[in-house]
Amino acid sequence: MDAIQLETAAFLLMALSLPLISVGSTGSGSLWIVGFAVLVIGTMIPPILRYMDTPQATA
Amino acid sequence: MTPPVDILFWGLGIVPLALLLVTLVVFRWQAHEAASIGMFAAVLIGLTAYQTPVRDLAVASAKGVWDAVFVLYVIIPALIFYHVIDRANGFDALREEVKSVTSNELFLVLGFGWVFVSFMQSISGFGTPIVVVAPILLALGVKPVYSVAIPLIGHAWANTFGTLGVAWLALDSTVELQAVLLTAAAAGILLWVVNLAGGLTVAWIFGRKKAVKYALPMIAIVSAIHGGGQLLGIYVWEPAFANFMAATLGLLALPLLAKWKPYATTTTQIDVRPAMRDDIGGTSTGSTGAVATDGGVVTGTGVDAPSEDLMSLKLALLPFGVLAAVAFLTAVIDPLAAALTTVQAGLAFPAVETGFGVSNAAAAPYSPFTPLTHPGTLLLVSTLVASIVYKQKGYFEAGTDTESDSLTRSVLLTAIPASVAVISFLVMAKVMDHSGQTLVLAQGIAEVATPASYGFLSPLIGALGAFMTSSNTASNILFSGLQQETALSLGGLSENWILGGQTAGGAIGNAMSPGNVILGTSAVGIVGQEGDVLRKTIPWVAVVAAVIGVIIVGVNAVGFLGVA
Repeated sequence: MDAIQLETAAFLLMALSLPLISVGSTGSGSLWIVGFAVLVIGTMIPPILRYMDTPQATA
Repeated sequence: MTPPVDILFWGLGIVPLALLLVTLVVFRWQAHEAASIGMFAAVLIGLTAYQTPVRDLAVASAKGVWDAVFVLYVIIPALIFYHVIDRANGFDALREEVKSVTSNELFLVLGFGWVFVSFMQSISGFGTPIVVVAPILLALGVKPVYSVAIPLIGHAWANTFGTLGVAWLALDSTVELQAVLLTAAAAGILLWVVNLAGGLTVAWIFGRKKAVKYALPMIAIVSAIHGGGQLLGIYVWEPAFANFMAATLGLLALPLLAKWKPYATTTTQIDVRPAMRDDIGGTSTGSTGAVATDGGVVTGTGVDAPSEDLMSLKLALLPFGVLAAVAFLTAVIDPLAAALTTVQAGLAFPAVETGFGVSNAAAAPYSPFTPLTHPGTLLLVSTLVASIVYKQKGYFEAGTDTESDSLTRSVLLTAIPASVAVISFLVMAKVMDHSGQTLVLAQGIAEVATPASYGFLSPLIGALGAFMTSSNTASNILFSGLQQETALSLGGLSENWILGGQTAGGAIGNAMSPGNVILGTSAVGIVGQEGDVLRKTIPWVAVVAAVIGVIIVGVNAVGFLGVA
């Protein structure tokens, strides 16, 4: 995977966290924990990418 | 109830911001990498010292992601807007055509980077002016980092009464003002200083002292129109329209100034031009030639073929004109605005409260998004009109699969890292807000102040709010109450000037807010160089905040416009 694909994955994970936390925190389930975990994982990708040797995408 | 406002909690509260700035500006990390570090620091400090339950942190984080929707819906349409114009060679045409009005580069940089960007801010916010003007400056031969820094500085003064006064209205509705007109006037006077500082700084960036001296008559005239016009508008018309009136008059003055002898042609008086690219019109430390040396078309990689096939000025300006017209009409025609705002979307969030009692009420929906009046939609409408016209006229070859794929990939390559950065940054800001870190930072500044020094510090609090939220409106909502209470409790301070300092600080803070910087870097294709842009804008914000702080202390001491 190149950098842009991993960054896209980070973006999608962040976006996915939004409905999970909203629905989970306003309901009685623990879906918000899944949402928060997804957000944390997504946010970890960019700094990790900094230290990984991934090919850069080009236009 | 708030967390303890002491040196320990204040020191911990500043850690996420310090980490963000150090990684961005000192280590030159890319914005999406630095923002993640800041976000994790805010979450960890919120969880431990600020006693914020994990569920509250999750809710705050999700609200931050939601807040990012408002910014991302500018970034992505703005990138499409830019690429459509660029692929029709619209920016090249614009540059070549404005050269026929005047080939004076300093005039053009001031014209777009200070005057036109202010006009755009007067009608449309959310960073739209930056994403529109930065590519124009790039096409004029300004270096990419300066193409972002110049409009950030140039538009700052218009952030309170611009966008039809939304930030001012937020201040007015958040606190009960003792004298609405006097507070507006105090803000107008301080913003005039910001405007003047913006014009002088743009000229200084272009060519240091010689450029400032050369452009001084133009800066004096335009600043009188901008600052004086806004002040006059506040008094005789309506604060919400004061900036629009002043910015429009400033824009209309440009063609007249372009005919004035000093600015009608290129000049040889400015021999050092650090903001200009070497591959366009001589060198950055040499003579001041016309924009292009051979009348050819300048691209990101240099000078191309002659410009016979470029579109006319009217066509080149079409997308900007459509954008301005649509933004204005949707803002001032009340029935239209009301109809468009009926389409809303939002998510529900529960009430949350930290161990220190910092609470946030339940919201259903939280901060509803009205897509049809959002600048992103206005940009898409403008892009659609431009692409149809350009295609009909044969300037835009979109439609082939290869071309469309290439355009989509170009947009994604810039939009994805920028989007990740914006989300991380706004999550950090929301976590700091919900855990009480932002409040402790502002209260800490207020608590160490004396009546004499608080006037100096009030713009810094406004700037902090704008830095955190990328919005003067949000800064005013966050901190106006605190500023007013502090002014009253300290005594001997003019509420008018303190609140004027709050919103003027919020206006200049926009020039260094990472959200706005990312918008600019994504628009000119230099995502990752946000730290370099901040190196240009942070010193400006610091100096101008200090200047208006000194002014507030001075006018407060003599009792001008009232002392509480």
